[in-house]
Amino acid sequence: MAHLTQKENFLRVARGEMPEYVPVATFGVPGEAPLMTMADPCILGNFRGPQGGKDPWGVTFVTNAETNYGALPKPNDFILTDIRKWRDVIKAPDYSGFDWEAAAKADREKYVQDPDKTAFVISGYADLFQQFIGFMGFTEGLCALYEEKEEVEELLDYMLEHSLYITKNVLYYYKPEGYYLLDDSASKLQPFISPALFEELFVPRYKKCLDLVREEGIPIFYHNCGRCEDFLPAMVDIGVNVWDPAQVENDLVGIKQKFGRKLAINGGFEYKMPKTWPVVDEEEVREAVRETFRKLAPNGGFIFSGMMTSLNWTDPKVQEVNGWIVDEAKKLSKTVYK
Amino acid sequence: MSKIQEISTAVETGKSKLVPTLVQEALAEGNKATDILNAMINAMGVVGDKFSAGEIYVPEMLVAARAMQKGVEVLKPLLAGDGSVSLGLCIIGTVAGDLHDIGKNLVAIMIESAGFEVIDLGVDVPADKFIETIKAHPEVKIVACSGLLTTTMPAMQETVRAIRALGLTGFKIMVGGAPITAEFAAEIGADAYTPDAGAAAVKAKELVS
Repeated sequence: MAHLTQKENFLRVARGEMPEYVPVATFGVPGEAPLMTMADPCILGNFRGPQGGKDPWGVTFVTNAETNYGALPKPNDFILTDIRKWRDVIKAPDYSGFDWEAAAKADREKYVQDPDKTAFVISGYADLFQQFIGFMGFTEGLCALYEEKEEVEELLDYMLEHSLYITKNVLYYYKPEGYYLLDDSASKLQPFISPALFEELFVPRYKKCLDLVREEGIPIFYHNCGRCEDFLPAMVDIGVNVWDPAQVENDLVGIKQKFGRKLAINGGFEYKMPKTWPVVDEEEVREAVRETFRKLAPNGGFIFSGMMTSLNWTDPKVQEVNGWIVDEAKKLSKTVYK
Repeated sequence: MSKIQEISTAVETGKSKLVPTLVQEALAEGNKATDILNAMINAMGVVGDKFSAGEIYVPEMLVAARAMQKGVEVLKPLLAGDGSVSLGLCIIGTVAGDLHDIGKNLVAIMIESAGFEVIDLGVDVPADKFIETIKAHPEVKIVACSGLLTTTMPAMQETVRAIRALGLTGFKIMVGGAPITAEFAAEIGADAYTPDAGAAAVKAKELVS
């Protein structure tokens, strides 16, 4: 019997089909090809890279060692301080003369080392919430959502034109195998805004981008950290197929029961640094992986992804623990559907 | 509904434009400034509890705090010199290496709304900066350290240890942030941990009572 490639198996899950085995994400494990790229098209620049920089709208992003060089908007350096003045301040990027065809070719070569293993999943930059908060900061931005809703909606419509432009061109030139919508809008405890406000302001605008993707029959991957489960029903309704990082603050078993394979859970695991660190019980770590498989793997719709909760990935002990996690997950992944 | 009750409702529902007028009207009716202030503080307590219970979200809490601030601005000239209305000084910051400010800002807003004065040191604050500020303000009642990253938990530990090493008393140390637990807080010698901004304001009041 011919077996599926890593990518084919992974995309089965993304399409809501039963895979041969549970895909296992292997972030940072040397010699392992990722399941998918989670990349920005190069037209957006590389502000999310380790050096930071300005995003296409002019928001400055900074990084440091403690965030493992993950970029975030520079604190207290917001380009929009009064939502009522957005028309004077916020100017859509000018991409005239950009060579999309060459960019698509270069990005595919850059991000996909092994096309049998890694799905080419690329962002259409529909991250309207993050972008809006990047303009104004959390305090002023969240207040504006509540106090000046009409102004916010007009700004979001203006931003949406940019997202649609990127999405259309990504679909046409990149021919991706998955579309990535990365829009963090929740904390560890709760979404930042109510589901009602989310569904009123953001979901209809996401939908305009996702409708284009659905027309092409491409799976949609949605990234939202923290406890965001209240947002998922609306996102599934507009076509989201896979949700990551599916953190354990959410009722993952309940979500699995509710959506089945219609919404694949990509994540589902974390191992908290124990009090005894750096002494770690290997069997305890492996059992935690097994427990996650018991809860989330049955009947498909699951991609195992998760590690120890440390950003210090170069620490040899962290690497050792993450090695146990991946090893146990890979062992289980091959047997759980037999 | 009494004017004081109207003010409470307006604060709870974040009516920034309405609150100053209601406060003026309440004063004109003969209500004392301190009573109006306490009503607004209590209203923010309700808001904080609702946030902790997941009944409202961050924007609702922010606009309520903003509404209260509008009311406080009206009262300020009348409260000037009345030391009894403040619960004391809180020094707050996100610890060294950590650039995240949303959680710290929310806690600062809620603690201020509970009746404290707040010095916000911002993000990426080294232990030395906390210490320098504590020494400059010996009246401080609460020192609050925030951190979102697991990688900055050691910085939080170092900050608490450095502050404790001063040997100064008269203030309590609170810690919080996504990776922080009550267990970790106890382990590093903090006096209190709270999981969210509403609970932080309640705990701060408890610590100084």
